[in-house]
Amino acid sequence: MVSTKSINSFRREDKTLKSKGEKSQPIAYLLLLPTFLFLIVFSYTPAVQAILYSFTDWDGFNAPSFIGFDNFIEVFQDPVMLQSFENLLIWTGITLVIGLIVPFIGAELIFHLKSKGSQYWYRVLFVIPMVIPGMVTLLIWGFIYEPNIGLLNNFLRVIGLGHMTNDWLSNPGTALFSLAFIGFPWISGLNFLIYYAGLQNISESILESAMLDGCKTLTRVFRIDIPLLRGQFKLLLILGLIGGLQNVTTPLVLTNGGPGYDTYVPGLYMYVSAFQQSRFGYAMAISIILFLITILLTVINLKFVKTDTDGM
Amino acid sequence: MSKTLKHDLIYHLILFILVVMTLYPLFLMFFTSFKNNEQFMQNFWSPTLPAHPTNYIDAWNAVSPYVFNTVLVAVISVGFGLLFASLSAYAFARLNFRFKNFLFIALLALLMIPGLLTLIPQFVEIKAMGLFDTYSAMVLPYISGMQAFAIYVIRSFFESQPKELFEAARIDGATEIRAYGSVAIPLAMPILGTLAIMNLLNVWNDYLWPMISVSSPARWTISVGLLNFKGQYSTQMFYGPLFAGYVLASLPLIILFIFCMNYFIEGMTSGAIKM
Amino acid sequence: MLSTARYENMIVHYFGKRGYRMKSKKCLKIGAAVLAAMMALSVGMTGCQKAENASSTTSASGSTASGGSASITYKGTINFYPQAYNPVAPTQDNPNPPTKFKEVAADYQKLHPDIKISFVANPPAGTDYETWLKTKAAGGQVPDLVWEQAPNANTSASGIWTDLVPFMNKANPYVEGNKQWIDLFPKAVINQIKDVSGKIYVIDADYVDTLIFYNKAMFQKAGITETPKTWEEMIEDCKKLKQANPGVAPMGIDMSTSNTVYSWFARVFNSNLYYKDIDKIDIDGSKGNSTLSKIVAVKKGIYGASDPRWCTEWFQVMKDFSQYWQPGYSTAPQGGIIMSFVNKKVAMYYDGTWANKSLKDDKAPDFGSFPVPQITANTCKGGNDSINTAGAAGGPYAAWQYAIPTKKADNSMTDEKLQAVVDFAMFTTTPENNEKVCNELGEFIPTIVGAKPPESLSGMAEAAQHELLALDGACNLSMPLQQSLTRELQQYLLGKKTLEQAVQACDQVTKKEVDQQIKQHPDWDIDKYLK
Repeated sequence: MVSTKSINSFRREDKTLKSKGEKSQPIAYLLLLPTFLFLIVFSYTPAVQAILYSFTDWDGFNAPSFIGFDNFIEVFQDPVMLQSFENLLIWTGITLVIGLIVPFIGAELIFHLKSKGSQYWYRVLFVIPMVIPGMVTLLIWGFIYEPNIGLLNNFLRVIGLGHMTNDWLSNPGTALFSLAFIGFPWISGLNFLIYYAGLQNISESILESAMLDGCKTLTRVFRIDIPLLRGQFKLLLILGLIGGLQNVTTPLVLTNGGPGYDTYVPGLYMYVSAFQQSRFGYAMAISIILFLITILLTVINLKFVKTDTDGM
Repeated sequence: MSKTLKHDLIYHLILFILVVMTLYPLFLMFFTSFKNNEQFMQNFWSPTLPAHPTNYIDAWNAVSPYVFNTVLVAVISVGFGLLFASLSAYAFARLNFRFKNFLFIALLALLMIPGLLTLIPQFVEIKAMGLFDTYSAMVLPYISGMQAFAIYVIRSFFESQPKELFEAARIDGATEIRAYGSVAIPLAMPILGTLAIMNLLNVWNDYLWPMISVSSPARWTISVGLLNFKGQYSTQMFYGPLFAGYVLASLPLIILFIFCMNYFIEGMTSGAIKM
Repeated sequence: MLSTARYENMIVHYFGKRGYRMKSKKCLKIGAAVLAAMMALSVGMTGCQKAENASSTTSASGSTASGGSASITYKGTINFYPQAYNPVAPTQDNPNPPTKFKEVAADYQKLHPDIKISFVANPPAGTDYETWLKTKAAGGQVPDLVWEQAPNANTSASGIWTDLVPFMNKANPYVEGNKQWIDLFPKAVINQIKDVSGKIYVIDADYVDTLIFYNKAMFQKAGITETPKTWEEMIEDCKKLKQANPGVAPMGIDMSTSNTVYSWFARVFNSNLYYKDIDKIDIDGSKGNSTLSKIVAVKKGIYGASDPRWCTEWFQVMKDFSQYWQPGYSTAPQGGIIMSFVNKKVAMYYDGTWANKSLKDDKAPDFGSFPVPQITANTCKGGNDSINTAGAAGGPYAAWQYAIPTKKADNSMTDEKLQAVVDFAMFTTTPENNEKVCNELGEFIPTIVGAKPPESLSGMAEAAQHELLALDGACNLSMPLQQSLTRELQQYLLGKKTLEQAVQACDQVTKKEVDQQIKQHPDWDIDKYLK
């Protein structure tokens, strides 16, 4: 997400300023003061505290006691943790595949429209669901999946597929997948907007010359659009992974991790450990592990997934 | 004209179906909010008359405090957050000072930290500061959380502007702060607007933090309050007032969206956020 | 001199090249103005809020200290959350809330005009009560007198609840002739609610039982003339009901983590299966109810996977039974399982005696009730015909269990206030007041010595005077433990785990909980019981 290139360019620029002998302007510190005051209190300190508490056994109420790596050892031996990560892999896998492909198709479809007016209006319509508060969206999907009068089951009955009605969120076979498929038809969302922006950025000349060359639409999509949008894919991949790791609200609100532990995810386990089981140290250990995974994914993303702007 | 239409026809067809599938649940929610229970049971799929706007009265009584709280928290957080972020971005972009490099890297490092990591320590801190169950508790971590990304983006924006714009202010003998106020901010309005909307949505939609930082019903935001609102209808599910509540909770953002519709779309897609 | 106009021109000129929309700019100007106004309003509101908070705390702390242990000197508000007896305003959900506590509070306020009793609103619907309470404790905001079951209070983080033993040994000034407050509570109840080190955290003054409620019409249709007396008969009835009433589940069971039916079945079965070894478990006269006896039983392995009576046997019974349950039993149904019964989706369902009132309020179809049928040798291995343990799923765990937080969990608590809260609690536990409040609700029976239950519930009164035989296999040590065990049972019932896997997982999670509790409570001395 933050390219090494931009950090390096920053460093270079900084050096040039110094070599030109520009004066240091201390007023900058005044401007930076509010930001860093907040950051120290509410961002850096909590991060450090998370690390410190993860080595303790703390019930959130009395003084913590140091227990070394016990929490981390327990995390790796905890069967609930194992199940949580399994669920997370499946869930994130599904949402990534859907999230990378379907909004792209949607963006392409709109991009292909000749009429600019239509383009504009379709974009507006697809953006509307983004403006609905998240909790309302979740509760609506809870209603869609409701077994008795929910939208999905009702729909199946009406079109004659009544035998396929299911208790979507209570059935061990369907619960996790039902949660992963929330958002149907998956076009509306940030991914769509970013893809569309990327398509808009493709210079006219390339598109024109492709057309002149007699390039068919589908070929053009694969040969030109997708390679040029690699940056967007990369960004959305990492955003999707990081977002997936932190997903707590959906399982908490819709299934409470059930049935059994079928929709348990590490983030939910962290929340439950802290606020229901009063094991704050253990919860911190879980969050540290999620944090390390986030860093790992980001590093992999930066180093190995190439975009068109890197190293050309 | 007809050539365009012919060319577009197949796309229109597919897109139209997709739009209907996307928006139908919202449409259902909307017209159900005007039904009473019999109407709902009898005719699920389409609007019925007569409409029962009294559902909205019941819903408003329950949901309006949540909406107010959410607006309060969102506006304060985003307002102060972007204020501080733009000040810092200006400093990073236009000024020179010792430790500039170090501070900026330290800032970017924060982008690595997932929200889940700091969630519980922030709760512990808020409690230790005696701010548990106050509006401050809800607002402060948001302000802090939006700094890193906002500063990064705004700074990039300032960097990409021609220096002459800022030099002109300096030549006129303005102080940096004046330059900031008169030049940088108006210049950055589009990017600030985009960031404002992004962060507004984030704060609006957040559930975990308002849930754990606040325990009195008077201070609940929409995310927390709607669940309780739904729970109140647990014995007999009256979907009319329930959905009316959902509609009311969505209204402020929808109004903002209509107001700044162009801007919302253009801002997000204009590539103002350089990847 | 700078003028913004000059720069605006530059900006417009610059952006003009990029096709910047002027319209959006105007929109932003309006938006910015609105934003500024709202921010000003918000800051103003927050300021008022802080001022209000500050002034309210100063007024409460302006109390004068005076001598005399009998005189209550506290001036201010006492926050009270009485759970089911809460005199809330009527709502759609709750059209006939109780009112008697308001009267009791008013009577008390007449005696102590400087004290105001304020009733705390019910926690948000659908939230986990224990979590709500723990969060409040972490924030120092627990109500001054609040509902909390003794088993949970005994295993809460140490330092949340005030030990009431010193007060229990004092006389209750509101009951004539009373020498010690503790005499007003049945000995059996006191025995069951003590914590491991003998402390008492909870004022326990009511009692509950559980029953299976059935739809009379559906029973008739299925040709069932008598309510089942044994478990086998009940299963037979389920088969008949299934045939006679298609589309209706014979039995409604909410086996979700937001319900406690796991612990009801655990108690009924464990009490029956372990009956012959009761002496091994009952180490302190509480018939296995005390937190201490449960912990020791786990430590000794009596409650554990190695003993098939613990989970293995009755889990299998549940598996067989679950085929008659409503589909989706691992999720709480809309409105609770009681609504499934009211809406005729289930023919029978398992609930507490409080349902008597709720079912009438919800206009349920004509219903009757019977206690959980007898477990026999045919039900499962080790089933004991000679003892009926239906009452095990019950006990002094209803709505009149109130605890008082310490200063750490309730920042407004002072020694002075504590005296006042205890005094008020004593006032409420006179036989007259206990009877008045409980019988209005009609869901639980009052247990204060001298209070009389209503006719319809008199059967329970006798039970309340004896230690309840309620061996729970330690599942009631804490809510999180019970929820974990419920999840394991869910997984076994739904076929995700084999019986052995599920029982092993239960064993693991129970042992973990016990060890954690011991670590968190250094004042417990378990070792002497483990010899």
